Amino acid sequence: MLDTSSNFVKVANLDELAEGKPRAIRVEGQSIALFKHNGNIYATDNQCPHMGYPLTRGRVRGGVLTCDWHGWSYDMGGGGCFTGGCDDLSTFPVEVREDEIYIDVASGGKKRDDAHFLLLQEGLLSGDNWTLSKAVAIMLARGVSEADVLNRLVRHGGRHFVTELDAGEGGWQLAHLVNGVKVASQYKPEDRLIPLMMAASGASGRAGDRPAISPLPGEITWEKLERWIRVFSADREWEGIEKCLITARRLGGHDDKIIPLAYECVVEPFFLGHTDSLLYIGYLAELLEQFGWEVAEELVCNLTAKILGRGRGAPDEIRREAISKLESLEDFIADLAANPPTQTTDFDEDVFAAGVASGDLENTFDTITDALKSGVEMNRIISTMVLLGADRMARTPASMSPGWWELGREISLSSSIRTALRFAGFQVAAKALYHVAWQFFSDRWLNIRQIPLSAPRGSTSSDAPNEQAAIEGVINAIETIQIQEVGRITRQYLNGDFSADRLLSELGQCILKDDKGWDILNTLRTTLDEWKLCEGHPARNQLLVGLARWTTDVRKNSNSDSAARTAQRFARGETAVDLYEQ
Amino acid sequence: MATQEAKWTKLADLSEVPMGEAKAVRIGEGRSIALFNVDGKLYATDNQCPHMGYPLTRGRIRHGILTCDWHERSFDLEGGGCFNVECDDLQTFPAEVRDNEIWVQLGDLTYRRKAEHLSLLWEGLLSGDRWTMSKAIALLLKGGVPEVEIVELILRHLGRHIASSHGSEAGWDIARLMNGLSVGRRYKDADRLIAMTTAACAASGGAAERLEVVPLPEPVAWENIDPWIRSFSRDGRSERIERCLFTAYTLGDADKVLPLLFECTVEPHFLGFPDNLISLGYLSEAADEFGWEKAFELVFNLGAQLVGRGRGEPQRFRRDAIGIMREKLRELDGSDNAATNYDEDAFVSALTSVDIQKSFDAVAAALQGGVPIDQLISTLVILAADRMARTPVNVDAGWECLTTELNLAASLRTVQRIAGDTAAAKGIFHAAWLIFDDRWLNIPLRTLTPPPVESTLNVLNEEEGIQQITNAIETLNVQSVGGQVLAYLNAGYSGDTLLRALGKAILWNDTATEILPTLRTIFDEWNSCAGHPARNQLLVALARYATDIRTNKDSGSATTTAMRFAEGRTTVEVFED
Repeated sequence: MLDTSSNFVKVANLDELAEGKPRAIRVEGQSIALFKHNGNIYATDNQCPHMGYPLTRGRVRGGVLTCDWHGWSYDMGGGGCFTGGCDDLSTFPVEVREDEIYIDVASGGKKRDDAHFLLLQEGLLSGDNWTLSKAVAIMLARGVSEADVLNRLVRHGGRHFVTELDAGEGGWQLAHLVNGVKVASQYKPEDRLIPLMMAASGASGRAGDRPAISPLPGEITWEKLERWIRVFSADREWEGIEKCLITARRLGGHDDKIIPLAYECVVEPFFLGHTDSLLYIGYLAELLEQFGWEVAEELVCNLTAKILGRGRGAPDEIRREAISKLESLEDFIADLAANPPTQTTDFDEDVFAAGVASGDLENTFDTITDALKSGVEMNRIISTMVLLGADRMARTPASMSPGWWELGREISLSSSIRTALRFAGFQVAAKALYHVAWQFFSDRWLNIRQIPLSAPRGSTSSDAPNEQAAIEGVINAIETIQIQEVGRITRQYLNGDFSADRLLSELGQCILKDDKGWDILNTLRTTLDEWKLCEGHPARNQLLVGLARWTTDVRKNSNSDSAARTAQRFARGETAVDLYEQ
Repeated sequence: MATQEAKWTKLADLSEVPMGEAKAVRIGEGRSIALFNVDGKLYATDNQCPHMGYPLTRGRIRHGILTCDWHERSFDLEGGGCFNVECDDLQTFPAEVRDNEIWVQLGDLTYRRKAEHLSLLWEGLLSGDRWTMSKAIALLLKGGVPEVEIVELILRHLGRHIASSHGSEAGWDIARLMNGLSVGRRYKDADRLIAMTTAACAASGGAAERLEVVPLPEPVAWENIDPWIRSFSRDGRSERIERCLFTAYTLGDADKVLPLLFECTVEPHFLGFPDNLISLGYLSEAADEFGWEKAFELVFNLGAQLVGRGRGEPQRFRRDAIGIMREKLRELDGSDNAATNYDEDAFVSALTSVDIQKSFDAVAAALQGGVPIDQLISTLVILAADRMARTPVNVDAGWECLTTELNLAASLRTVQRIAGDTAAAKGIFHAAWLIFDDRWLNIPLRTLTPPPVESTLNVLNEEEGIQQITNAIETLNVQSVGGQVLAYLNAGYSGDTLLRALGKAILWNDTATEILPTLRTIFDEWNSCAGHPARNQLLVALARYATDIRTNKDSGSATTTAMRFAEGRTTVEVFED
């Protein structure tokens, strides 16, 4: 106990500090606030734990220190925050020796070990982006593993989705959760905060109470559950599906059959027109793959049930027609799965693309059927559909209603068939092609001229002196909202001898840092994947051109990254204090 | 573990249940078993739908899923599992065909669904569905689950409900919960169930996870916390109070919390917020009854919201009253109390003088004169009851104002018990303010010494007298029910018996939720005010109030059905030949 006194360092003379006149001092780079209050000396961290305002500018009354900015209050002695338990203030022991003030910096800062976990929980419950950014930044700065942070997000997401969200809302938030995580993984740790914050935001919200779901009693087999899930899906009774899924989990040994079964349900003909279900099941499959059943069970069982049992409304005439057409193709697809035709490399992409985007339902579906019949490899069909969507995005007129969101859907949905193929096999993927083709068909109102995918898309190159200047040219076009120019500038960059990978990376950052990044996140993630998968394809560049155009057109320039940047400075201890001190 | 060897029983001949059909079979004790023949395979289940008791023999079967016709709850025909929320599983039994006879292994019917029914009650609490709560509580009680376990679940839920989803108006919820339990304990069986269900309904509503409250870091002591809470309460900063209260709890100072909260809320600036005192009283009861471990979330969260609530700018009369009360408190401070005679009539006449200076002068004089606080409280209680007994019911009888006067007066006994004489004395000013504030009520002035009652009730016996009074209540005969009560009591019949009967009539009416706090106060005060010459006004007040706001809608039907349900007697009977 005695040698703790050696930690004390002199910071001021007693006569330098007056009642009501706090002073900021620097000790080992840290700004510390000194107060004299009712004859006692107090030393605290000068940075307000909420947003970093200097506390020397605050008000003191009855031992309670209140920050001027947002009115957060602290116990000057112990540092406890009266506004919540996540943001206690570091305080330091003070001794006055012969008219000199000594403080013990080393033993100060007695924050709770779990304060940052509480802070994350606060952010997850409130959905406040500043709190989430700060919590994630502080956790990562303190050496909490990213995996641990992500597990917490997914678990909370489960509790939130279960009581608060329906299939559509849940799918939308899930997309942010999964794609935020996937996009973050493509960046270096120091650039991950924004996509991680987006992921956290996707998982955040109220977590209502709900009794645990108990499995069905009696002798239950997977065969029964599978049949019932299909029945409940057809009847739109999601509660029964959730019960069956929980029962399947408790039976054990059937986990791997759950996602394939869910896929089989959402490619049923009656799901035509609710194609986002396909996308969401894909995200759920990826979530499980990364986090496992133990972490993701609640979210996966609940949202799968809600998606499979969602209301689909009465189909109008044209959808009825499409449904019966797909129903009539079911035997053909089953047969194809059982007796695959010899693979062919003979595939006229231009004809295929023209058929899918023909705006004629008969032609659209026949085009898919012909490709399957002739034995074109599934992944090749998918690449063509992805790039068809990208090309449409690269060329849609930005005048009236360019249909960014719909075109983003075309790309993400097409790409998602790869996930369906990987988790549920050929037959599901083949049916999924028709569902995605339906998306192209229903986007027939878009005013995009038909041009063969193989036709060249402009040959001029950038005249920038070097890659850096060329990149800056593209980013500048986005930030100054040059929607009519940005496509050309991006294409010229790609036609030059500069790194497309680098452009994609910078483009992604530029998207994430804008408020509208939320809308584009899913397509950004798809583009990051497909850029690699479509390597060698002549139309690949359209992925980047389309993305650059979309982000330019919807840009708000309102700097949503300021929370992330402030959070990072905060986690490093550099904050507004610097701005206010001389 | 096999409890008793399950018996196989022959229930029907195979020919009685053809393919694709169903048959109900009675097995005694009012139970009905459903037999189903699905593609030649026989199934046996309880015939009562676990949701609301409709006969399942009338349901539909598809893919092994049995769906009830009434509310479409679905069950696994074989294992009995229910596919819906807010419904428990169906009991199923092994069935066999032996020589063209259907044999069923009925098994033992002992209760082992406690966890399931507690979970069902929780679902009901979350959704607010009265039927689900009634049924779950009836089944739990029938299954021999101790009432305290049921009540603790309700209390825990209310804590989470208020803390995560509610504001300071939650005082009304805790009032109905604590009073439902308190009144329920005076009754048995269905009467008790309906009181408990009303209490559960009061506690129901959404609840969600919220951020854990953690104690303030050291060094911090009660000596710091006490002034902080007082200052946050003055400033209306409720959000800063809860963590202070929780810290006091972890420091071992939980017992100082409620006295402090009472001290905060009897401050002059809280004049005009009588529900604060009343609600804190109920919170004290919850802490007493269930212990801090069970009650702390509720008490600290709601307590913080109450004493830290915003009070708005006081208008002229309230501002004056606050000033006078402060002045009176300064004068009282340090003055010696000399015992003097207590003139109740003079005190009452000052309180009802419609002059706040006179009223507060009288309160201060009584306190200075050393009149025991509990005697003043009795006067306030009886005065409120007397006003309820005499308020004209033609335009607006002012029941809400008057019952608040009554309940506030009674809650001062809790203030005195928990926070001592000084706090209770300040509380009397709050009660006096309320009477001044209710000055718009058109109640003729009168002393509490009642005039002699001329008539006695013209009935053969007590039972008939009670019958006549409850009949007056049920037929909304508000102009004569008060006189009948006085005449009944004047005839020498038992007030206790009448009070129980009144309580029962109230519990089984929709308005019970509203009247519960007052009913409970009158149960307590009927004893506390024994010997007071105007005590009878308590019963007159209650009868008039209950009659005037009665809706004559049978809120008891959920309870009646739930009781029948728990006994296995349900709508199955109605549908069977």
